Amino acid sequence: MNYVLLVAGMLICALLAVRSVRLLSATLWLAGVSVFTAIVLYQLGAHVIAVIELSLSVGLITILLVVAISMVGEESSDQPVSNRLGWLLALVAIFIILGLTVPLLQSSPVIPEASVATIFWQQRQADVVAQIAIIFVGVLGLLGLLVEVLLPRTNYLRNTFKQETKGNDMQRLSTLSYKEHEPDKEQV
Amino acid sequence: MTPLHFVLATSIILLGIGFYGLLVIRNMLKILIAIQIMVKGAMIAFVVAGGLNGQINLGQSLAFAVIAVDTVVAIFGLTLAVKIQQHFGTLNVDEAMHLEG
Repeated sequence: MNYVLLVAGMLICALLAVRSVRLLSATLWLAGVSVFTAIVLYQLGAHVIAVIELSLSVGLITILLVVAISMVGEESSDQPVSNRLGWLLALVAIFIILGLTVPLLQSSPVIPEASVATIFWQQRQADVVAQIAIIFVGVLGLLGLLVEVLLPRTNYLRNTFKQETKGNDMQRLSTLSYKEHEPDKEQV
Repeated sequence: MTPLHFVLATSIILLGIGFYGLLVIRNMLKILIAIQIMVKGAMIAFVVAGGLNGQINLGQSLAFAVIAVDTVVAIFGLTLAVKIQQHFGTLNVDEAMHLEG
């Protein structure tokens, strides 16, 4: 019963995230999917990955999505079309995956297993190296996203300085401040 | 049907919902959200497969790799979407494909 409620909540949140018109609503429904996923994982005994899922997916990705939506604007969202062919293809994909998965569902004897830390650091070292490289690339991507937040102000200052230096008034350039050269209401 | 089988079926349905979103949606940010839903299904499937084989810690280790890659993909996708919106003025993939900038 517990699993039924959790799974139902997860699927409803996923459907609403896909069908939602507003971007911000879709982001919040995605956060709901992540919360239910973390709870299900915890119930299954995967405690480590449940905590990581909760912190990364609900925390980091939701915040980044909200930042990106605030930059591109809510008006960019589109109305999802009701596509019967899309549902049909999705059902076909589900049945194909089920058909490939069901023959593999054989109960295996429980064998003594090492801890997560031992598996992660000693048995799967190539994975760790690859993940470090991928996280480094992700940091670069995050810098690219943050530059978009800072760049408009930098461009504005640069254009202001160019306009002021046209008269060779270098002395005035040295005393420029950002507040002094905000666009006047009359000019706008 | 054990809870593991039940959750495995759920993960496959999550994959289907994300796949439907990829087919129908044209907004780049929403496509990212659909990809996130698909990845969550795959991650749950890893953990459940580990649990079915009595190696749930191995499943957790693999799921952690999935989460790391998924986070980086989300960051890059968001950066690309913001850049494309600033360059073309739209987030619609169909419109952006027909524009030259």
